[in-house]
Amino acid sequence: MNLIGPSLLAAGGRFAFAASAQSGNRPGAGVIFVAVNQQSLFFSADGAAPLPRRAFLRYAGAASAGAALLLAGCKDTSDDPTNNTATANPNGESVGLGSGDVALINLIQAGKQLSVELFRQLLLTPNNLSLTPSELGLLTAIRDQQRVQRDTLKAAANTNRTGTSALNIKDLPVDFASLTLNERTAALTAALSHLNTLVAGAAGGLRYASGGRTMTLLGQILSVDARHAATVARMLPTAALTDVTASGDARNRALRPSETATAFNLLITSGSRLLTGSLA
Amino acid sequence: MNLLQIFDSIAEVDDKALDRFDTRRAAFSHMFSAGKKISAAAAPVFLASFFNKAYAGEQGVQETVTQVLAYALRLERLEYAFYRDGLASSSLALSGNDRVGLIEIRDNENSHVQLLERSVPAAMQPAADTYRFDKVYTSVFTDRAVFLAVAQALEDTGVRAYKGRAGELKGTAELEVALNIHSVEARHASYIRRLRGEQAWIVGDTSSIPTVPLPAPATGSIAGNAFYQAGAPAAAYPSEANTAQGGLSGLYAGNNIPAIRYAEAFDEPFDPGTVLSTVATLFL
Repeated sequence: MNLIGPSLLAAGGRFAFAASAQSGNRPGAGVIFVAVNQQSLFFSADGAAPLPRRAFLRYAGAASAGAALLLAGCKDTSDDPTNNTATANPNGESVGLGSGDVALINLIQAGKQLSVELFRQLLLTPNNLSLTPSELGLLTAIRDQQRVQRDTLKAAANTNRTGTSALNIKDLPVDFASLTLNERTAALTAALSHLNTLVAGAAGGLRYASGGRTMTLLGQILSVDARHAATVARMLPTAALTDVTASGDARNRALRPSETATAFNLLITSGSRLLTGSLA
Repeated sequence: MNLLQIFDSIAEVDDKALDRFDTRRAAFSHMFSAGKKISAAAAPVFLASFFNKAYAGEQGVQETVTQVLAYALRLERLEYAFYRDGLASSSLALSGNDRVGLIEIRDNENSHVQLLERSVPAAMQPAADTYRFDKVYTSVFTDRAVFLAVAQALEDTGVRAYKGRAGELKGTAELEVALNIHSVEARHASYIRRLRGEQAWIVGDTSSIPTVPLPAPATGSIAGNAFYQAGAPAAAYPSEANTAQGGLSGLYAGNNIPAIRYAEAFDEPFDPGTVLSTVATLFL
């Protein structure tokens, strides 16, 4: 662990004071600072009670971001989204999402790959689903909108790249063996469940976003996914309009990125599943 | 672990971060002189203390969060009052799917109001508004079509309004709360649009209500499609006809998907100034 890397000193004027402090140009001041701050770093002014950590920790998002950043500081190359030759782990996971905002974009993009394929297969047998013309039109539009969102997220991940290589994950082979897509209730329930995962996954993932553009883009998609979910729910006689944590609390469910990836992995062929180990 | 990378990343989340650290040179000085003595195992604890120090007592973030939640509270109260009065109106006489769904939606809005009232300190809560829904749309509580048209406008605007301020909650726990209210609003919008025989999503920047247009308001000159137009500035808050999200345009070329799907597939953010002036003109 290189706590004080040379790159910090090379960062320009903002950190210039650090260099002078370290080189001992102001030894007297340095000693005083140490004496004062040994108190203030760990104790409040009266020297007894700990600092009001809650003031910082209540921003759970910021705190979690800190944890994620610590992870980012120890970059793991196995998370490279372009590394398509990685050997799968015992859970059949091999696809890294990358780090930072790209990881979040790739996570939702993975979910979009699944929804596009899910709606495509579902619409192969519209007669089995007893769809009305209106319902067929709605589901077709949903499929196309999901595809548009997938392609936009693919392009968005690459706007974050520093070199020329793409940052997209590969096309994921799906495994829908656990789903029944040629019978109305089962097929629509599967579609609703996946859309609800997408909504909850974006809401629970956006707290880790750092770029304004990422937040806007994923937020724009999140509410359209919610519209899609409500549309499908209305085609099922017993499905709930909302997907809330508890009745009487009208907040949508939220999933952490690792939970979202785990849910997606149920629909991805083993060996090409998303790596969940380093996700928040 | 590269400390600079961490500071850079924090600066992306909080653009004041470097200033926070900069004004606390003492902390840095301490850190550097102590650096060699800190074992790798103790470093995370040390860093945590360091960030605690940098952020402790900073009120700016919390003030912004409270302001955003107070804004949301005002809009949620408006929506709740609208459904409450509509469901109570005997001449509107909502029944069947209308009534079942709208009762759930009303109760969701009430739940949002309660949640936000618990989250915003009493002194920061907006004063209660007086609504004049039926002064502007005179038949809103007597004509189902008009009632649902206004409901759709309110829900779609609510979705855009939350989206417009999400960025101000970046990195806070409140962001998730706001997003989770916001997606419930989107479900409401979808449900009400389907009750009206509309597409469940916003189709371009027209009023999107071809069969039953929102009537011209009795006062003011706000058009029925005002809720789908660009905010200010338009570059940051584009209209619902936008097809170039994330600065990415022309993606639809050659993929056999109509360009309008690119407008439908993304809800656009709305700035608070435009939301409040539109809502205030029509309903307050």
